[in-house]
Amino acid sequence: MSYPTYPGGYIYPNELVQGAEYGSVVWVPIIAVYMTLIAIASGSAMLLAIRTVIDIRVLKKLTPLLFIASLSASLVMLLGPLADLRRPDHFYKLLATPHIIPTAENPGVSPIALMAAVMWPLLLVLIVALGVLNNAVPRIKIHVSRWLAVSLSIALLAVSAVWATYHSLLLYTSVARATFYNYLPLIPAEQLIQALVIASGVIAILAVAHRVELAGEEIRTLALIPLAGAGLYAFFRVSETFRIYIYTSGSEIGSTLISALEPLNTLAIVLAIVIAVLSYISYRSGSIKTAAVSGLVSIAWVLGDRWLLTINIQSISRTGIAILPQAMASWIWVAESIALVLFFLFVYLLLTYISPIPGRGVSHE
Amino acid sequence: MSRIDRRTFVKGLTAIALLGGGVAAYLPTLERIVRPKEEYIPPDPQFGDGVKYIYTSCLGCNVRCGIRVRIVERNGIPIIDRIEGNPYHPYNRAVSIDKQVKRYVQLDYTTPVDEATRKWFGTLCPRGQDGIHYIYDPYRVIKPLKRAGPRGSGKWKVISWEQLIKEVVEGGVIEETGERLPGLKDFFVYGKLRDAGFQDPNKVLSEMKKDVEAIMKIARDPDRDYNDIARAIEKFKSKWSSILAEKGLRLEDILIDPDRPDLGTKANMVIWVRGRGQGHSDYFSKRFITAFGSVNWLRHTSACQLGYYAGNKIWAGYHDIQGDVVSSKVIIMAGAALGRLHPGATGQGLLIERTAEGELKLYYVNPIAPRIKNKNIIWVPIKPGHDAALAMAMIRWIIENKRYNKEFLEIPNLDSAKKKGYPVISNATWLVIYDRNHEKFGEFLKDSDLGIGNEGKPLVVSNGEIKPHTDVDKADLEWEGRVKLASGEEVTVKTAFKILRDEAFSRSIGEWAEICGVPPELIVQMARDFTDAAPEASTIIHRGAGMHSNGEYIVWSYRMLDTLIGNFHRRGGLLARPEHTKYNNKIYNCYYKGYGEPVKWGPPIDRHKARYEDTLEYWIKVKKGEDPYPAKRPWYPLTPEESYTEIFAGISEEYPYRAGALIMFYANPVLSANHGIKFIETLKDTRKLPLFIAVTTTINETFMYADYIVPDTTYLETGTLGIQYLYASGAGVYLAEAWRSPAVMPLTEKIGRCPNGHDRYASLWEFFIDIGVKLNMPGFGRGGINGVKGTKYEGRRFDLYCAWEYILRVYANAAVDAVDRGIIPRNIPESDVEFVERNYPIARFKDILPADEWRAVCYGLARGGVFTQYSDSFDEKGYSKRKVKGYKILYVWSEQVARSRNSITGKKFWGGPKYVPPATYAPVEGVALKPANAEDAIPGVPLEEIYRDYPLYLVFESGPLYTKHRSQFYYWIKAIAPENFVVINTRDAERLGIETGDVVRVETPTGAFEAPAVVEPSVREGVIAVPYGMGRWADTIVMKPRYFTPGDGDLKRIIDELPEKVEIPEEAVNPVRNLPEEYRRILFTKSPSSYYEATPEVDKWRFNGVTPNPVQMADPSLGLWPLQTWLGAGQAYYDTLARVSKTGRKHRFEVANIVW
Repeated sequence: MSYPTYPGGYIYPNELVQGAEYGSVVWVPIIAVYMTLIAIASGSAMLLAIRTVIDIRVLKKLTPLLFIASLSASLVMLLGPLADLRRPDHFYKLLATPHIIPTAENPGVSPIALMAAVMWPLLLVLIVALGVLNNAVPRIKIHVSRWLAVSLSIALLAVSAVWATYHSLLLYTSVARATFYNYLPLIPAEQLIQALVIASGVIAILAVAHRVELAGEEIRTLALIPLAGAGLYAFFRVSETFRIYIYTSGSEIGSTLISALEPLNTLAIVLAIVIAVLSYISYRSGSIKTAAVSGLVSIAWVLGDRWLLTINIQSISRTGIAILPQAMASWIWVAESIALVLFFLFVYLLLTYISPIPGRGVSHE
Repeated sequence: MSRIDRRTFVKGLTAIALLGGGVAAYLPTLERIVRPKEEYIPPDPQFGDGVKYIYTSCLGCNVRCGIRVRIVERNGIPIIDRIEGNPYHPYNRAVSIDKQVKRYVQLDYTTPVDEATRKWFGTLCPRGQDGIHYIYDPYRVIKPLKRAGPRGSGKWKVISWEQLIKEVVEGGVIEETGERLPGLKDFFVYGKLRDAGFQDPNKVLSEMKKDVEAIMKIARDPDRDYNDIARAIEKFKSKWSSILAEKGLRLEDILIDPDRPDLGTKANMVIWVRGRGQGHSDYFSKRFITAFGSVNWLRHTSACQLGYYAGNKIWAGYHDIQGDVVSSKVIIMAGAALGRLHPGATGQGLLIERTAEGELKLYYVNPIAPRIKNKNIIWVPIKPGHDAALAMAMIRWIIENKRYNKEFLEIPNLDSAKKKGYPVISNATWLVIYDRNHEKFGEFLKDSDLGIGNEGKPLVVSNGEIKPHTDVDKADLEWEGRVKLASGEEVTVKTAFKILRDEAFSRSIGEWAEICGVPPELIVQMARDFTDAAPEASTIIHRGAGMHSNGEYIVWSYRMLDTLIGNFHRRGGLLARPEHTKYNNKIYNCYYKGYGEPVKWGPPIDRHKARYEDTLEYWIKVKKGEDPYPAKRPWYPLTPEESYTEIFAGISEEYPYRAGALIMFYANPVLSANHGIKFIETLKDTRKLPLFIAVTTTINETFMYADYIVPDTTYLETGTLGIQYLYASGAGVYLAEAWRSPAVMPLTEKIGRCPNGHDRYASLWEFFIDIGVKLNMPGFGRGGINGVKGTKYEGRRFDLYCAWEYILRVYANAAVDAVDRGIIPRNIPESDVEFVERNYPIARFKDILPADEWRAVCYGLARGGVFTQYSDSFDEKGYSKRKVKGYKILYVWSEQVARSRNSITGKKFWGGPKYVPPATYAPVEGVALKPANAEDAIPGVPLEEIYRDYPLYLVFESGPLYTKHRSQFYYWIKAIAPENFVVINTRDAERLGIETGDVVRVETPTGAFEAPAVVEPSVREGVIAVPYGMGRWADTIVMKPRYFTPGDGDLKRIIDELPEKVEIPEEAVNPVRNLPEEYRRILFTKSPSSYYEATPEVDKWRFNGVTPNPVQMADPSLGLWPLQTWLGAGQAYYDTLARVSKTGRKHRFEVANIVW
């Protein structure tokens, strides 16, 4: 086996011994899929929360889809990091005895434990609560005060927003921290936008799949989300890229960094523009199918961007001035990534069986 | 089936398929959850089978800390796993989890070794720990090599050990070029005489030497003329030609030059030069050279600390004296790097701790800031080479405010000192003839001068009368007057103290401050603090002060501070080196003399410790009426040790005689000397240097010009085996010595067994032994080691056929002496013997010693040496229990110096501490001497006057990470600081428009180099600094240097002619290839396998960075040979003047955080 060396740049010796199973990569590719699922879950949950507070007709009609999509994705998504654990047989400890309270022996808090043991059950509970409140769960009807409903919505919005931007929190704690700060300080905002865009796209796909009948105006409203979101994202990312270009212009260090990240970054910008264009077409034509196509593109877009910020960013060494060639020796990650999607679809199907989606031939009344 | 049912059915099927597919794809994770695979990765084995511990001594630098080496057997190969400190050693300081203390001290020497090994650790600096990369170095040579092309072509071929010995002794041929090389037997005069039939060659040589002395007596006799000398020489030649002819020899076979018999025998044409010497590699090599009959046993000291040594020797008669780091309350640390000087990076932690806790105030006099910040480490940013001005300012303040120890200074003789409880005196009260025009200017006024005695006793003034210094208990300090000599002449005389006072008062404190660049308030503060703490105040002076052309005067001036407060040889004051055992000659004579070695005489080729005025050359000129000055090269009678510059200048100019053969060991003067590239011309010249042998681990910038390479071993094997004494102050302990024995057997080729059955490996030791045996030299081979007279072994002889037969007897000497001193107990615990026999490779040779001696040796080996405690090292008055070394007189004025002459100008040197600026050794052609220079103490021209266009001083820093230039393989340290650069002060950088990362061109009078700049305020304005340790271009592999350009066209051509690559057989190098793969990967995580698998390729880290040495200062008054100190012949490293300009290029640093 050969090792990354000069003249690529300086590498700390222990960077070479991490991630033995996957070569030099620490976060395995399934994490990119995991992050995509998070986006779907959190985006759908945010739309569900918004729908509870603001009466948007299309969201009201799509509430069952929002509920089931967010619940399915949430239930399944932690299988991603489970596959990434060195000792997955110890996963229950993260849930049973999470390190979320600092002690004298162990100061600090584990963000991973916080998310798994606190934020995840909270997300599930809030999604179910709002699903119930929005009559998305069959045979369960509970009426609560407006105040409580709004509070629960805001709570779900907050928790979902944390989940949506969780990836950027991990980047903050990662070894590529310096690169992250220099390269994309707007990542949290972009990821929030991506969550909403991908959720609306997935919902559009599901709406087509379930043959949910939507009026043109409703489709246009739905199309506004990816149109505005993708457009804003494109603006942010282009501005950032331009800023980085000026900042690193003439610097060999910066140029090396950018060259490692540029292809997928460019792709992300291009796909955002494609999404915006498709959404505009959907908006103008009132076509849900166009919105669904935009949804497929948005999945590729988010997946690609997560790949950039999970896998490719790891290729930058700790010093920030060298690029490590990636060596993913095993194809296990491909199977496990596919497994994640399959489990999501399985749970989704199961939930739609329990609570059928009102579409052509199916009524929820 | 209804539509819904079908839908549900399809949905269900799909769900099952999805679930099944998901489970199948997720199976690897599910497997790991259900059936977790536990791979137990144990920590590195600490104890048990296959794990050994050796206590030995480090050679990461020259400090000689102790180390404990853990060796683990992997795949049947014993491999060094870890190196840590030795808790018994006073420098390492003992650490334990069980015992948390505020101030670490060494472990009690009697602590059982099992307990020490399991419960205690010793601190150790990063160099010591990274010694693993020293032994496991792919560039190491493991078989003998002979050059297979012209010198310096980089072409080598392997020869057998037997062929090496044969050719070195009898002579060889370079087949590829047809060159004939002489053999050592051509120069072994003792052997020639013996083989010719003289029964007792030493008798012949003794008589010849006496005859030479008789000629010299005639030469020195003022009543004899040139013809008398000529006749004496003819008579000598006639006599000895006749005697030698009877056995078929001629005078030319014996003497270098029959017309100059004072130069000695041809044996002197064999020159030994070592670089790093430690332990018994020094004594053994001296034994070899002495047994050969040559006077040329030479060391690298001029590149080391010779200016400091010479300054001390002149002042106190002993070369190595420093302040007590354990108890001094105020230390003036001048020219010493924090983190390097003894007690080393490890031991100096104590200094830093003490300052942090307010126990010590340290004035760090250095143009480079200490990168340790606390309120008791005060940076004194001195202008390089102008320290004497700082010292004089302090002396002025001390005298003005009467802060000196008057009682001590007034004592004129040792008997009086004893009465008052002082171990030494100063000669402050002695009278000096101070008439500049008088021939006796600078000499002490003696009883014979006044006709009041004839013993030559210096005189003093006491109670208004002039008396011999031995006759009074107290004398006047500040006296000046006119006296009438017995010859009738009247002369001015002054006390030595008065001369010093006059020098100090010749300028105001403000004027002195202006010269040295230190604010006057700081100077006053230093003087006040120093004298407030007296006598527990001291100076620590080292290379940065001593290695200037005026270095001896700087050191001497600083040492006046110590003299004024009377702190010599006491706790908190100045201390010389610790005692050591009689490891050379307690019961076995392992010394370099006393076994029948040949008689020898003559000056060494570098003319150290030799007077030009004692040579026939001088007297012949004088008697002919010619001006004897200039001599062809300078002579250095006042220096205690040897000079690189003069070695090579001597060989090059064949002065005082031609060289025949040069054997070098562990040295690299081409790289390590200032402007050392000048030496390459000499090394390449096969006419001036007919035979060049290098004993080394890798082929460096100097050794690439050798004819033969003798593979050597590192300190973790048999390299520099033996016993290391400690340098001043030795952490204050009464007695300390570190023992070095192998941690692993050598990685060089096994060359066989000795007649007594002991394994032998290629190394310096076996090389000398085999040469000695082949030449039948006394002191080697059968009965080579004699028993010491007056001991149980008197009259007995022991064989010397392998390194073990020598070194075990050295340990035995030390152990037996330590037993006699009560340091090692008479009853040796069985556990210590078992520990050594279980762990130490050397134990397999224990048969060499009788059982009782071996047991005592085990006690010492198990602890890595013999050590005493600081608390036991002083008497009730606070004086050290060590013997007082040196003259026991601290010279405020030295007649010896005052009578010595500059051998180029003939001018006498100034005999006392004085401020003189850095200057050339002699006047420079084409540069007019200022009138003042003709009068005062400057021998040549101040450098700043010659090189006015070079406004900056170029210095370097030898920090705690790198060991000069021999540590570019310390890859773990390289990970912290992988490259070096030029540090420029922020103000200077602003003026020049330079930023960090700019590649700058540094020009000096001898050339230029390019390096990236780092702009920091941590170097003084007007000074630029290069952190030392990089810039190599040859280390078995050659990589042409592109960062420097010599100014001299010939030198530039030599560098351009360096080979692009070397041709070296794969079998001859790289012992690392035999290590287990995982181990190699751990050692070289950053390197491709081509670095360590076969014949190693260039690895960038071995050749990156810069060194300023190639373009440092040369002396234009001495043929542009590297600049030296005037009295000591030390390399003047810190007088290089430079100017800096931008190249327009930028540099990308490897690591964002710049550390040096």
